[in-house]
Amino acid sequence: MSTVTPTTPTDTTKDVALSIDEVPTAKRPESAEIVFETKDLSVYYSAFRAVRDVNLDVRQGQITALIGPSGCGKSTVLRSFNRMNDLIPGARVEGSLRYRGIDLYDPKVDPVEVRRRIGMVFQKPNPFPKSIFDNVAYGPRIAGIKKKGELTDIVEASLQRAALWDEVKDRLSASATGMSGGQQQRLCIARAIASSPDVLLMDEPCSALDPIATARIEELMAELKHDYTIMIVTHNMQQAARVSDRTAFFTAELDSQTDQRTGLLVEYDATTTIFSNPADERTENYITGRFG
Amino acid sequence: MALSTLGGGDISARVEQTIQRRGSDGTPLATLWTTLAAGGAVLAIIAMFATWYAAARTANALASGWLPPFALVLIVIAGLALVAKQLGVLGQGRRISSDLFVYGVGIISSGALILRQVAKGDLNNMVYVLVLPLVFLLVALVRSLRNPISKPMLELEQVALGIASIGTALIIVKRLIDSEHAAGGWVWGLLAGLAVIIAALVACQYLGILSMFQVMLFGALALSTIILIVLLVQVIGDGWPVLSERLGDFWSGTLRSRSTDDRLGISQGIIGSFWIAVFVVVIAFPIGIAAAVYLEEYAPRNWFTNVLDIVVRNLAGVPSVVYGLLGLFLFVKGTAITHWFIDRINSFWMSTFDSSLIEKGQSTLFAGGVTLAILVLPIVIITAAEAVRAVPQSLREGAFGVGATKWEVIRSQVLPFAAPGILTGTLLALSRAVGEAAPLILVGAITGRLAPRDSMFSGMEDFLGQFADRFTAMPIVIVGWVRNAGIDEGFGPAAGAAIVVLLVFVIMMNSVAVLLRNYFEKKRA
Repeated sequence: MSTVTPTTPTDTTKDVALSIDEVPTAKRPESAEIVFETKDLSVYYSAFRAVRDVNLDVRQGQITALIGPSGCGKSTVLRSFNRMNDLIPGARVEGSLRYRGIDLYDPKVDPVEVRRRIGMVFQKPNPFPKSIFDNVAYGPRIAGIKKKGELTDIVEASLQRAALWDEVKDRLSASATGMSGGQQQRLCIARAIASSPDVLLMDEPCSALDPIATARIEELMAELKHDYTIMIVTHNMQQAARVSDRTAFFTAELDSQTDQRTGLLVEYDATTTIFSNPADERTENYITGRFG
Repeated sequence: MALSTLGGGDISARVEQTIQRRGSDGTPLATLWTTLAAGGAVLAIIAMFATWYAAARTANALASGWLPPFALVLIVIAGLALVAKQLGVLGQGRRISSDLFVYGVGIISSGALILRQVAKGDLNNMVYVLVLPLVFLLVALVRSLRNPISKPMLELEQVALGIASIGTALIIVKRLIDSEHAAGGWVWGLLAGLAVIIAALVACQYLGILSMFQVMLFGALALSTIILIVLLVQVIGDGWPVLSERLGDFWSGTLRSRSTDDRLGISQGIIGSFWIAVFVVVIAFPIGIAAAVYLEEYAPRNWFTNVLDIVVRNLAGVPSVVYGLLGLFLFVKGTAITHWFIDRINSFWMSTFDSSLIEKGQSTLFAGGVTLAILVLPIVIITAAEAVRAVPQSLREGAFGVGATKWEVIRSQVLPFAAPGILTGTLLALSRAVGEAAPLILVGAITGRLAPRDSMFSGMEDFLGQFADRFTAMPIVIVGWVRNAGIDEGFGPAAGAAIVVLLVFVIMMNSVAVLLRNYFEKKRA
């Protein structure tokens, strides 16, 4: 790994901060390439250990689902993958989290650059109070793309990828907050795609949507996984079973040392295995509805 | 309330239950309500006495004769009976009879007034006084006849109260329109207006048009509006001679030692206040907003920033006179350190403009402007910080999520979203600065005679020179003239006119704040 200089706010070129660029991010045919690799990852909020012992390897071009009962730390884990947890005072990680071979929590790594590479879609649709166009163009703009024509192309391509183009092409200058919840969430996906990320993290993207909008998002994910590696946190086990290739099951247990409930990764395997023939009893209990 | 929702039990129990829910006993809300109603009665009585007193003094045609006083006495009795009943003096057992009593008195007094007008053949003049209460009365009667359970006798007393206070208030308003400008008339107008509003709200609540909560909210709104209107009317009345006869001269005139001087006017005050506003905008706004953004977005949460937060909040509550002392000490008298700074600034300034910017040991416009900028700084910080805090976290996350830096998030999401709140707060702070007198008195603004400057735009030196010169401001002009009015009565109308000008400016600024806020809110929707 070469030396890395931290980016300044004015530095909008993509190729400076992270030596990620030296790793080919182009979509490779072999789908087994490992994108994320964690080793004994723990996430803390100040003294509280929210989740422990996460050992995962996330493969390129696949959808990886994180499931488990509330409070098991699956969102926390997801948010540590693009350093969103940095925004929470007191949050820190222990153990190693490698993205294409690079330690994401290396002090030389710029979290801003990480988030450009690893986009995120949130639980509640959170479009900016701007026009539809400006929402999608936000990422490219802060990445330094100024030309109107180029932006228009990116916006159109992103909206088409997010299966939203036909619905909004005539009102790109309308406010995004006037759209329906499902449209807003697809807009947020388009916004994430517009920055041409390598990975998409989705934190319960359908929990605020009705079944029809949920179905559309799921179709979209199946479509997008050819180009992006996707990680999704979901409360909906059927959804995990439907869309994901691999599933990680988390649960929360009382930590005997700290007397607090700490999440942990119980089992991680191909989705079909997790749902048909889980190795761990706790996983079986959860997916069969005996607890959680 | 639908009876079907009440479930089983015999009829009397249901009635009991319903009455208890509607009645004025027991719950805190009911107690509050009772207090409000009693307050309305008291106001009506005060208004009544005011009319009576004023009528006795001016021998107004409307108030002459025996009938209006008689009617008013009845209204008083109605009010007193109501208060007594609310306070429980008449006792629970006599509730119905006292209700009937109040009710009867209301009708009799209203009827008497009508009869009098009919007898005089002067229906145009007085009939409107009684239309409103009669309508209320009629509606209440019909409703109570149709549904005696949900609308028990209890509410009739409220209607009687409504009649009493509305009638009284309208009489007062009528008298004010008819009579010459009577001293203190608008104070009674205020009371009458309040009585009308409370009575109307009482009626609306009991007729089920408004909920209890809406009534209280609306009452609060009405109260503040009426105070503003009364204030405006009062000062416009005071300043009318000046405003109507010599507004142009008054606008361009200067501070004079005699009120009869044709050149008496407010131009210096306007200029001073204008520059003070500029100082506030240039100094307090950027620093205050920047400090707020730092505190909310960048500063870590630890004991130091907590202390900082408390300090800023306390500073906002420090009396303005104290800031005046600070300004006097720092910018007028000066300390060794400030003198050193002033010397540096002046030598830099002189090298460019050949004049000093700040005069040591003198009460300058610079000192006044900076003092007021410091005075409103904590207010700007607090309001801006509140606005920044109100920005949804999801917006920040959305922007961070696509790789925005902290500053990009603040610039493109936080500040635009917080803009309406920041603007409102800062413009209110500006209004406050423009209206402050106490600190300027301490810093040494001129209240007496101030030699007019030749021209502030004749050259750069003249323009800059005024910052190092003595100054005055609108509130100071007003203070000076009000004080002089004791010796020279002509200053009274001048002060009134100056207040009107200042009020117009402040209201204009607040209107701009509202318009800008609406504009930005629409933009973010």
